[in-house]
Amino acid sequence: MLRNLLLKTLRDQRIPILAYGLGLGALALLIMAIYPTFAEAGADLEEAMENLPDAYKAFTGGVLSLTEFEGYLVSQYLIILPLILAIFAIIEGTGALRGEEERGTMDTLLSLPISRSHVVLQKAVATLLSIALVNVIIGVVLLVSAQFVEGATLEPDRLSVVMLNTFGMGALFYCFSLFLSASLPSRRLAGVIGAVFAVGAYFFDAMTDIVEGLYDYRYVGPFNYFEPLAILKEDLSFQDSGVLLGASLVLLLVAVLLFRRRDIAGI
Amino acid sequence: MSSELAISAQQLTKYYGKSRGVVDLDLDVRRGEIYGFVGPNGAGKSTTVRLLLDLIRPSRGSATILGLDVQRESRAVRARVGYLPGELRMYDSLTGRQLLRFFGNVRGMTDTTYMHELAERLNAELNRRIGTLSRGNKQKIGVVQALMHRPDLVLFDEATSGLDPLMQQELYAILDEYRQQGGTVFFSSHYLDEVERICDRVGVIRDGRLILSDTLEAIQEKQVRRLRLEFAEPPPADFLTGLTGVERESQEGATVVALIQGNLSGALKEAARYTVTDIEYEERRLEDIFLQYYDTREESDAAESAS
Repeated sequence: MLRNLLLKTLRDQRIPILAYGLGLGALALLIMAIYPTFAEAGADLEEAMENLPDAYKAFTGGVLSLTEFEGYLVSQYLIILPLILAIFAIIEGTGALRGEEERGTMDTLLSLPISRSHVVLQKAVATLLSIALVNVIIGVVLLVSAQFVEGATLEPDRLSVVMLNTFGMGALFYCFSLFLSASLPSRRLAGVIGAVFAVGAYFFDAMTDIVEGLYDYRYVGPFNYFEPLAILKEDLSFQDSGVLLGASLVLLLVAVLLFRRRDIAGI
Repeated sequence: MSSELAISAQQLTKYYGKSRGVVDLDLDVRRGEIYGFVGPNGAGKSTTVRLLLDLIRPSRGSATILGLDVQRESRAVRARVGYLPGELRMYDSLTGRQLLRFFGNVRGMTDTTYMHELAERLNAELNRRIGTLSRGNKQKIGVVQALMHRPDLVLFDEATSGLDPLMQQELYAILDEYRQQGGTVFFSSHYLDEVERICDRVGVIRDGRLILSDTLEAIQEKQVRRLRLEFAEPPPADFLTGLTGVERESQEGATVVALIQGNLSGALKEAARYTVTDIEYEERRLEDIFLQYYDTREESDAAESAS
């Protein structure tokens, strides 16, 4: 696992990835296990949903029905996944460059014959693989557990696209954090801005459904491109994931350029 | 672009915003020598080393290592260079052995015989996590990683700090062997006794500027030292006059004090014509010379600013 920086980064992330995979997998199991009680609630729950304020619905993925499996899964689990992944993505993204500089290990690393671009790209590929692995674990847990839960139907192809969509969100938050790490003078500042961006983006997207004037600007927020309910119920579109991954790639390339040009901070 | 030079810098300058790093640094380090880079804390030693490793970029000027541009050909430079800072920060969760394996892999090393030989000589703890090691033990791992790939040049920035005296001696021996095999050492330090002990040439940096660069012998030659001679009988009044590099300072009875620059032999030959009862010759260590040099520069700087 120490053959190159990519593998070393994966090795460094093995414990958090295991914790994330198992934790989110366990949460998925729990959510699946209690679905039948929601389904049984039937008409009463539907009536309660209808009386909920629009703001609540906006913050839970625009779900209109909790007794319907897809709506239940999105509002109780999938809608918060990007925010949970964002925590990992921000910690890793800001730590990758500024974190190593502040610890003083970047000087030692860059005294080896490895280019700055390779440092950024190998770390990025490793972390994106880690985020993908968490999504695969979650997807497998959901798919397998759905076989045993009455009323839960998940099509593998639709679930795969949902997990790709979730991965796109994680990748975007990671690459944005990497960009901050390459451009800002401290890891703490990068972390704060990254966290504000993630939470702010979530609120912004919900607000575009509630505040009329904001609706036209919904395209600028990343959560606009996170559509698990539509993927599970309607069209099997890769477009939203493509936008997220495209934006991630642009941020990654900008991070590489910035990191190549600037001074490495000493301790 | 001379291949005779391990390091060549021309007007290398670095400002951090308005703060001075180094200014107009012209530096030549020949292949196969141990070059001491001396100066007080904050003089610009680490800035110079970090510029040479392309960790920071110059405000102006340029530098080459082994004939390669340190910016444009940075990766090729770093493949042929070893680096050890004063307090090496490494990955604390790895053991020494894992770290050296990782660094060796990134360097494309296949033969680890020399790595193990160095680790054994320095008694480096390879099986413990780096985070649990003392500063001295971390520094031993640092020495191994800097030399294990048999680089053409090593940049040591206050590298012996934290090593106990025995390990310092071992390191000096390793560096001496390394130099004999054709390696070059750029040895930044503020410990003048170790510079005096192992370096062939010395550069002195102060306030970001290189104020002196020469062999130790030449630096010592340039120094004026006081010679006190006591005779059985007072020598004649013209004693020691007309000798190159010798200036009579005073005479009291049979005791003559003279200021000597460079070689003593002329004055001693002249003194041998009379009965000498005692001789005192001021001993000058590198430390004294540098302190004197610093004081002199400070005085001239003060005079310059006053004018």
